[in-house]
Amino acid sequence: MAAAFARLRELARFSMAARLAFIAIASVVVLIIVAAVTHTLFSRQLMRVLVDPQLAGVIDHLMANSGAGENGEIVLQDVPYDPRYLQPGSGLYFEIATVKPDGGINVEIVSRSLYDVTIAFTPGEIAQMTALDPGGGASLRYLDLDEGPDKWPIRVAARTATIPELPERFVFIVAVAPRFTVGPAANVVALGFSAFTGFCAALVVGVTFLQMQFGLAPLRKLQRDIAAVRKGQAERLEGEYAAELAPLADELNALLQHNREVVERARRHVGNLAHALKTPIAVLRNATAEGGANGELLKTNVEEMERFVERQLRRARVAARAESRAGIEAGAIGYRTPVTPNLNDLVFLHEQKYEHEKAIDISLEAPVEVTFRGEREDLLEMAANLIDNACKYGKSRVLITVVPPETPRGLFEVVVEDDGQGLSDEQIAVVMQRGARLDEAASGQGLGLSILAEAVSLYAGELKFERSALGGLKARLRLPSTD
Amino acid sequence: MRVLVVEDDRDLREQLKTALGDAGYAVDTADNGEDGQFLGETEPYDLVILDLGLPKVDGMTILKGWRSQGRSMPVLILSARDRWSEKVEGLDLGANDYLTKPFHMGELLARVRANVRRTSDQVSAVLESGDLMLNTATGQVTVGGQPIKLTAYQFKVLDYLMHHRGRIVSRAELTEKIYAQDHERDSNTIEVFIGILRRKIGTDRIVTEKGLGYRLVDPAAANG
Repeated sequence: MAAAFARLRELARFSMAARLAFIAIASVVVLIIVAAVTHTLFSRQLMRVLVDPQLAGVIDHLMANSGAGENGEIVLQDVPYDPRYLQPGSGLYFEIATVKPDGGINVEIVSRSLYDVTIAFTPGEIAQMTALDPGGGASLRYLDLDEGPDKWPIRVAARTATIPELPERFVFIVAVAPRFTVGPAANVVALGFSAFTGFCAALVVGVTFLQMQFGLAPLRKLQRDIAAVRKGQAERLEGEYAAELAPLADELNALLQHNREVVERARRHVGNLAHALKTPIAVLRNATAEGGANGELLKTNVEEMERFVERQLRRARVAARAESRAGIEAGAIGYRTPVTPNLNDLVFLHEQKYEHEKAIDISLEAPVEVTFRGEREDLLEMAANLIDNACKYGKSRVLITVVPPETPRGLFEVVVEDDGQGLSDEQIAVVMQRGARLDEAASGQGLGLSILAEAVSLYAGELKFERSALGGLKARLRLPSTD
Repeated sequence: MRVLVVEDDRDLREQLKTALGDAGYAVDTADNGEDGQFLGETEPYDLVILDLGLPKVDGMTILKGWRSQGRSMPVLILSARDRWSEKVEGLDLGANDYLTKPFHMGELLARVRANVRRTSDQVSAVLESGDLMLNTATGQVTVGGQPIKLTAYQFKVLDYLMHHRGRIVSRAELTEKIYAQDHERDSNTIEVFIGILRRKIGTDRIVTEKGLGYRLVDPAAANG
């Protein structure tokens, strides 16, 4: 028992359910103890209530029917009517005794049920029965003996009195063994008590189970919500929480917010650092162009630094995009980017960029206005990537066509084609494959499609390469629209 | 040719000053936004090279201020900020070109040259051909009141055609007027520019006279 108790306490340190079980078991133990004590006190009181008037009645009867006999002895004229006074060991007894001057008693008359046995009173008990009241009278006394003539506890009532014409003082004693008289009633009471105690214990166990099941349910919900945050399905804990958990949820949200800020700060820091490096790199690059003793060495290292900066900025951008992934996937409102004006700006920027390199005619055909369901920077970057490649590899023409979606909220298409060399089918296959992977290729190498592929997959778009009717490469970028 | 360089990095500022000076420009410099803004407001520059991340006042604010005051000199933004949305924003605020750091000095000089040329021999006048308008002072081109974005060379071609509207301008003449002498150009470049211009201002405004050259017309006018 003690070992099991200790084991429970050990468990309670780790499990809230075990704590609740521990409390429940302790409650049940206390309940049983209290019930047992209450039952003992209650049944004793019940016994007295039932037995005492009966005993008093019998004493009255004995006193009323006692008188002096012919030889100066006490005579009982009428025996109380109850067959049990006649049966030995029946549990009902009476006796009439004279009180001796030394305090002892001499039994004069006994019920037939006491013929074979006697009630063994101690001197103290005798004194209790025979003592006079302070006023000199004698009242009814009750006492309980642990062992009666039949070995069971008995309840005794006694009263001293004198009888006319007789000199002695007499004590009238009536005893009953409750077991034989009120026993069946006591059994009913005990049964009632046991049933009630059992019910209470079951209630405690049941309530505890419910507490584990329903009382701890908010905890499980909190756990699910936290898991959703970890998986990136939610940004913060949004639900309604029990009053006890709400502060915990608030603290967690504050912690998440703090974390985001730390990450954001770190990212901004890296971004700022990378940006800050660009100016000195520009200076160094200009300086290396002037030649000098270590010209080649400097040039290599400056290029190395440039690549590093580009890579860091790209990484920060990818991370930032991953951050907004949840919002984009949920189709969050606010992500509405008109396509044509932005493509127009890109056309202008690329005309400007390539104007002094080569004469290239970039034309944009957008028959209807289409709205991209996503961020402006992403659209610009994806389209710019394709347009830049087309300008780089095209001979004199780049054609950009916007194809509206076939269904509402479907995918619209930005087709970018050029009249350059184009790619062979095998090369297209290689490009598509590489584009699907997120490699961190150095900037300016190849088609630089990894960032593009990453953004396209984020928006659940598509990117395909084909041969253009113009002779060069035809890139088809499909992205979700709002209309 | 006066050029203003607003750049807070001392070394880069000096390099730009040297390179531009060697290319024959008179160069003023400012190392913070406040001075740069003041110089741009008060001095007549042929071009400004403007950094965006500047102490005191940032480049975008300066540019917005100049344009709202009607200062129309070409502005080339030279910035480390390389997001497309930032480039587009710069253009929308009235920048004429956008170059990201790190850059090749050669490319910068080429772009400066292109942007300066556009406005160099300007006559402060608005040229008109029907609802096509070209403001030689601000470099703004509108069709039916709608602004059209033209690059430096495209502007140059249109500017020349409008100065000689109604007359046939040969391809050789255009090439000669638009490019510096040291500039090697293959002649179909002009064809490409004409193609772009036609798309931007309307196909029927520039008529090809076979074997002779191009002629700017007003398609709305009865006799062309």
